[in-house]
Amino acid sequence: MILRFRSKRGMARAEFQPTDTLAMLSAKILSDILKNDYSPENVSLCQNESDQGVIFSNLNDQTLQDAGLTHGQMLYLRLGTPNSDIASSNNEPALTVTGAPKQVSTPDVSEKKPSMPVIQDPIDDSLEKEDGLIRRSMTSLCRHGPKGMCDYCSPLEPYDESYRQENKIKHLSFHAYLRKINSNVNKYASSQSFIPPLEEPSFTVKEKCPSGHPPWPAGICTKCQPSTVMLNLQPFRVIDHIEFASPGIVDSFLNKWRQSGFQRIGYTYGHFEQYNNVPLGIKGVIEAIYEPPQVSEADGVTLEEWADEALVEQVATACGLRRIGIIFTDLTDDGSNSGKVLCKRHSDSYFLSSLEVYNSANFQTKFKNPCKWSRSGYFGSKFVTSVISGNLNGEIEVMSYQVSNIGTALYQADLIQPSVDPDRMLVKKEDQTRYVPDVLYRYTDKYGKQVSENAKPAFPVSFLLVTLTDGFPEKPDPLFSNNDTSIITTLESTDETGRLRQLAKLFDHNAIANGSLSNFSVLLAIAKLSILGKDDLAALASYATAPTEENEKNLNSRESYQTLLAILYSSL
Amino acid sequence: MFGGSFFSSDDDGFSMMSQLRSAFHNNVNQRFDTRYRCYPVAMIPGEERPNVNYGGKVILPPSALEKLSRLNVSYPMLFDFENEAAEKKTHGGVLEFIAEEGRVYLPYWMMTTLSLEPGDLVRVINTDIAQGSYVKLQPQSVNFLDITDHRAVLENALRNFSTLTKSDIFEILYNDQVYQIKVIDVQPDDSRHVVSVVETDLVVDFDPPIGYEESLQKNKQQNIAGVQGTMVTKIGYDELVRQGDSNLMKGTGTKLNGKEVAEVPKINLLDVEKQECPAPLILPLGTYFFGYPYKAPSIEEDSKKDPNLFKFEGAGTSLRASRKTNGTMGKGSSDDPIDIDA
Repeated sequence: MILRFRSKRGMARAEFQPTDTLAMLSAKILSDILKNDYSPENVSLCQNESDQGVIFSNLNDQTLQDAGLTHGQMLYLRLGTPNSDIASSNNEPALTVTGAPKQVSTPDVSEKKPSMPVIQDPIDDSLEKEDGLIRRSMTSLCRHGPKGMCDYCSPLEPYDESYRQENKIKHLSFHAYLRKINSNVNKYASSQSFIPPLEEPSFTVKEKCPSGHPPWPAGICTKCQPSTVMLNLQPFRVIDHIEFASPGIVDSFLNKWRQSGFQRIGYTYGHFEQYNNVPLGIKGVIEAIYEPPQVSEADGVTLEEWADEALVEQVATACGLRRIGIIFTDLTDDGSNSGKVLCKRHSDSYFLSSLEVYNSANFQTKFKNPCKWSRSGYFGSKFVTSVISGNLNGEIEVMSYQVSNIGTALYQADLIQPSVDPDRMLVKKEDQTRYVPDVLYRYTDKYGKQVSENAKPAFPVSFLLVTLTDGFPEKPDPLFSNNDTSIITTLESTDETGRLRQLAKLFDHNAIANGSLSNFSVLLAIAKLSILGKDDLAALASYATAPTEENEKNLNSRESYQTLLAILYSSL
Repeated sequence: MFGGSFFSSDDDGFSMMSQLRSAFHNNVNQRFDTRYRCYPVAMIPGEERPNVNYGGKVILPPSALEKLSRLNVSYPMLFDFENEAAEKKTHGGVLEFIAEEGRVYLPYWMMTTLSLEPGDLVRVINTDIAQGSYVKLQPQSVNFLDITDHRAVLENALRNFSTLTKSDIFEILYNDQVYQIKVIDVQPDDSRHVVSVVETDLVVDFDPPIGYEESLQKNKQQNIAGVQGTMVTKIGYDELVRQGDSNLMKGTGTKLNGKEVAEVPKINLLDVEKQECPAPLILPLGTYFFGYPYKAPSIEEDSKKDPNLFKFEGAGTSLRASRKTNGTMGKGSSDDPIDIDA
């Protein structure tokens, strides 16, 4: 007898004997009709379209005759998730090719909706509670009393364009931008219907195209192909300002270059605060720079395998810090013996080379910014790239940048490639693994006209950059009183007992009061002894940075700290 | 004495001879020492003669030749030229004796050296000058370096010279271009600091031209970022830049003798920005490279601040003084000026 099966993959028919069991039938369906694309747990057999049916793995040894199936009868197959998807979601990390950027598929909107609530950074949560309105005082045009308000003095929205231009703010702050976008998409007051206003750009071909053609590269349609990439200045920046808690942080970082002439690279650690010069702005306050293992050269620097990453992160968390970004020197003495350096990065050359943009895009992909206003749950990144180089006057200066969201999306889709020209990024060529959409950029030509230009094969890197402001606080109040990183090299060059003796000297009560422990490098060295637990480390950190009696009592009550002291004192 | 024997007459004859000899001898000691009015060679009537102007030989009047030929001068004839008023001296040879009487035509550089104006008096003294063995020259501008074959040019140019005097700046003409060259040092160096360069083997040494140091410094600075580092060679940056050029039209040159021109065209690293499609720079993630060719920032043109630029100026005045501004002015000025004066 012949049975017909209808599923979302279409109609199929198969011949059976009336004496065959249902289990045999399910096996045949899986192998012949479904081509082993589904496991028995994900397929169910139904008598009609509406019922839930029986899952294949639960089918028993009843014969078809006994089950009441007749020749020519139509049966329905309800299909769940195919095997390939299960496999890909399980083995995702294994599939990534080292070196090449990971192809991140666009998250399915319908699947994402009921997902876990996104845990945002505390700074984002606190800024969301603020109205961010720009208050204005009474102007000469106001014709009302001091308690009145009119068009001239009513507060402005945080994304007010004229205010931004008057105050020479290059980009809107992220939260101001979010308000602007959200006011168009959602009614601010009603929380009845919520549509995520933000969407991360993605330039990969959409998998599982609904229009039913074979997947790319065999077929492509307007629904699944990435849209044309229009490169333009990103209107917002996730971080507005970078502040070094004290000039000494940069100074001690520069010392290595001063001594050797070799470039250095380091990760910046700090915390985020509200930045009041920009409506709803965020500033990253850098409290410490950690220099990971690296090969320094006069004209370059290479990051090496970083075994201590987890430990450094742990110490940073204990100090209440997080990784803010990366900082590197690009300094060349100008040979005039006046302490000035060459101005390599300026408007005629480049600000961030294509290679650096590529590297930063990689970091920004790694350190995504959780955001509940985005469909994917992430939006942009808080990772900042800072360069120490010469300014136009030959003075050493810090400049900070971020790669735009389009830039990171281009990187994720593996569409861009750095070039030997620092000012230009290459668009990769299309091949079997990569679909390259049209990339255009707009610029003002020599006739003062707006022109769109095809970005293939290369386009100016500045289209992917977002500029941040930098500065030092007026009244420095750094977390660590000492930024000397040389202690790490001193400790590493001595043996175990010497190391302990060195550290023990720092644990003198008076020395602590003077801030001998108030140094990220010292705390790291103590953590490396792996005597203190996570909480104890935090207690030590708070005692080191603020040696109050209360903190001391808290620390002294901990067993592991006493063990540490015993070990240190025994070395003396 | 007069009534003497034959012997005495013989004696007389001898004495005559000796008289003659002494006269001759006197002539040897007698020097050619004359004053002439000097004029630049450009004023010689007739065709222009560039080899005279860019040489070290002067043109004297025919009477000088007559005078010189009567004296027992050593050849080649060499002279001191002296501007007595300014107490300046130089040396040179003579080319021809075709000048008008009372005149000497000097090359322009010689007149400058002696700070003479046309028509001034110059003292010309015949003299002996030792043959030179070594001179050190310093071109006065860097474009001398543009000459490919210095040796040939100098050999040819110095043919027009008889002497070289220390700290003189002489001029040579090559390829329609005048090159000023200073004599830094001469050997053998006597008190007069001059050597003869006629028919002698001369060792010529050069000091770097004036302005070379600066241009060298500039070049060095240009390359400083590209050359110093080690990564630039490790990643083969130059080669990569050249690869980006590969889409340019290419061809090989062949010489007439059939040999291939085996010359790798030098590439200016800064030209990378002119390439339509620069080569990709594929480095592992986490590699930072700063050895790009250094490009100095262009100095902002202060066209707006041009002092010659004419601007309309004037203060606006109104017939009626504004009461409001007066009021605030008065308020503000009551406190401030006293503070400043105190």
